[in-house]
Amino acid sequence: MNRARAIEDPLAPFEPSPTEPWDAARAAHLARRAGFGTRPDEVRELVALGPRAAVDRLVDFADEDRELDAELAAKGGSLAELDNQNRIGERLGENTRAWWLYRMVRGRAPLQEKLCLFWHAHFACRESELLPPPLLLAQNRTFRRLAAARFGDVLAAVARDPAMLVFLDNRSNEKTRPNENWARELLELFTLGVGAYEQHDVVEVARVFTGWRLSPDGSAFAFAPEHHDDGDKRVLGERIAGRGGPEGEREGVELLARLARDPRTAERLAGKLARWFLADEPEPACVAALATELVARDFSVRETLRTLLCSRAFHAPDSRFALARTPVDLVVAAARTLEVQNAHLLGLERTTARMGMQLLRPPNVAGWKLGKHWIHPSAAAHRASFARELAALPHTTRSVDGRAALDLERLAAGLTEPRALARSLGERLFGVEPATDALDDFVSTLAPGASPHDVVRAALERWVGAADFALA
Amino acid sequence: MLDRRSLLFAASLAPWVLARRSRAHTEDSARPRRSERSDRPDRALIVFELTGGNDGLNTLIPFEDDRYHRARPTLAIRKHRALALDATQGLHPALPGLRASFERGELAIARGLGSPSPDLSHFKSQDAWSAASVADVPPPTGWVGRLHDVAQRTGAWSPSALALLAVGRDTPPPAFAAEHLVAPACMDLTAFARAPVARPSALGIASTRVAELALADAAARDAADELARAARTRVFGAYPATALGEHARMAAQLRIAGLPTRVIWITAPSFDTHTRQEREHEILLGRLDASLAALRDDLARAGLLASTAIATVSEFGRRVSENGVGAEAGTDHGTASIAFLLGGGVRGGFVGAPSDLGDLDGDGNLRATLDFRDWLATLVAHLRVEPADVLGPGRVAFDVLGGRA
Repeated sequence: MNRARAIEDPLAPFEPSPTEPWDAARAAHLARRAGFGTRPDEVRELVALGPRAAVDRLVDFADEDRELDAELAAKGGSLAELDNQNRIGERLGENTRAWWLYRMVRGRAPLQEKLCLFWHAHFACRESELLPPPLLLAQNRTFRRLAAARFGDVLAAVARDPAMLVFLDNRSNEKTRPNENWARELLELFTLGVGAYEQHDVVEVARVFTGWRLSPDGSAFAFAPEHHDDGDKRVLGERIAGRGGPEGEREGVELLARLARDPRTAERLAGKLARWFLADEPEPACVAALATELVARDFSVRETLRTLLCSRAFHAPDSRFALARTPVDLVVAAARTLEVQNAHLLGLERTTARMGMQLLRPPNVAGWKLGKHWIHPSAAAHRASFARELAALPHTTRSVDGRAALDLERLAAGLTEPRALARSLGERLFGVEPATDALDDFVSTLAPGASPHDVVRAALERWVGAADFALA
Repeated sequence: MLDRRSLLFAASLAPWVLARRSRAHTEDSARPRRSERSDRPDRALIVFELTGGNDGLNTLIPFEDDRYHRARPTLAIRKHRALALDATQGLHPALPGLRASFERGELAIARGLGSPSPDLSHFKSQDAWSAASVADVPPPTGWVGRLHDVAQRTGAWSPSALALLAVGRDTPPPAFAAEHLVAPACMDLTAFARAPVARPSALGIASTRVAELALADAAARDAADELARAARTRVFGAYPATALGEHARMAAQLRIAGLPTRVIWITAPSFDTHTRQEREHEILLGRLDASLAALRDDLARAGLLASTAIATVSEFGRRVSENGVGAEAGTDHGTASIAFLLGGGVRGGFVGAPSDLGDLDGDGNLRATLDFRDWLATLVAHLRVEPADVLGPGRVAFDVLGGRA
């Protein structure tokens, strides 16, 4: 990637210099955005690697995380046996959400989990009576497998994904009674965006996907030629020759490939990647440059993100703490950074639900909103409650696998003096030192004779509850 | 307490930040608020947002129109099942409460309500309704947010952190978006009891985002006590044991406790009936009707029906023709629909002409006879704010207000 870039190119790579060194603050920024929070060992590793290799370390994740799988299997019960369909009466939705949150908190590939969430928000399917958690778990595994793949590969997989076929009704889309639900959102939300097509395109795209349905047991994709409309269609001004028999499926496959490569799709996807990884309200020039990069990289999310995370725009100082965290990001960042054990015992699942972001239950097919949307009075109250609950977690080993939820000794790092403790915990949680007046204020509120454990808990509540922690 | 820097910024965004400081010395905040000029309670608007696009044709049924029955062999509701309002039209059988209100002359029904440039996308249409705009790129502010800004600027409303409130959701609806206002939303009325204590920014960052966060913290603290008081207020209506019923109950509590809330927003989801509409729509309308009836009764009992208007909004109606057969049948996205306005100050009856089933657009959808922006103008006018100031020149309220209030 040593193409010469003009100086004003926002995606030109950041080069460290004596005035702009590669330091813990920059590495922490990278860790917050390309993952969840700033676990000290992760930040140290990123600092040691240098900017380029640090980004490679995050972006080139292994598709499988065997350590994590083993850890989850060792837990047994609800987290280990999600695929066991015979568990009558179990709360499958809660368990699936807890399983995913656990992966975010403990996994070795935080960017993979963040991208998994990105795809869940882009191709947002919502749990219901008709769309039970096992189908969404299968969809989640598809997102994880293709987390950093080419966009076209993700789109092709989603079009055949049983959860999506149920959620947008395409399983009922037949030549005698076409259903427009999937066709419309495919054009509007998943690829081109509003304004790029007309209502008659929606009708024609619905016809293209007639016969795309589920296998009789409802667990897999099946194409039913007898329900496919084999007449010619006209989509976005181009003729699609109708095909009968099993060949009819090719119409949809080819249309998906065409939509996935469209420059308008590149622009929408670039805008979304920018809002997730760069800024709440990204500069149009940045989005345009990112769209160009997507096309140049054959729509590879991995390569496009590599460019973005290495860029000057990404590493500019005013880009830090400029992104409003979603509830999932906030809760997972805190738990991961504080190395909370037994993350599911925390009730992280209930916390995110209370905060208005329940995994597998996006508000609608457009997914969750981002940015300023998450700054409101209710969020403030939830953040304060969460900080209190976190700070009150047990540090004795009464939990199921014999490990304490909160390791206060480890968090104290051998310090005993209140101000030093508060500073050290602030550095852990923010990746930079807290401000002097905030430290002064914190120390002034401590009860006389507070033990180091008390101070750790109080500092934890203060920093996680701070407005600054709601930003990444 | 906000630190000085945040306070100055916050005050420039929200006048109540300063107002509450001076008020705190002189006013007992637990006293129910009445308007300063008279003993009459402040007016309020309760909006039920039916998201997904409510099927107007199966809500107000043109049971004498053969074209309706032909387009919907499965879903059409026959004359003998409809709750007749006159010789040609009636309400869905799941709406007995609304029929009772119609008979009392306190329910106005807008027909043919839609956009002059309809769009079949939920999101585009919801954006248009939220912004009260048909522009390609609608303004970033919502109509309720702008209403709030105008009322504050002209002094029509006294400053309050609770002037707007969404219940039953955690995040404010897009219609509440204002230049900088951070309007509260809460799942329940005790949501702010654990609001954060004010602290300086941990990192000393001076950015708009940090100031907005500090403002949200302050609003939560300010709202906590008043909402807790509303939560303790007794109501008597027979609310259905559903989420929507609970939210309607909260609206009654807010009004009866005398909170300074002018717009209460309630979201009723799932009206996007692409499949299984017969069963689903009946359930949805039944819950809505029972919630509205209980709320109406509580307001009437407390003498607040005249000052309160309850309105429905929905981003669009549905396709005239159904899309399937049997229990699976549903309807795809449409255009014009109907909406309700209920209150003691409402002059009951119909507004506008029904869309002509013999004159559909190229997609098989209804043509609007009323502009949705004038519906929003009517809701603004109920709150005694000039509609044109909020919605732009030319927008006028329908002539349904000023009944017996």
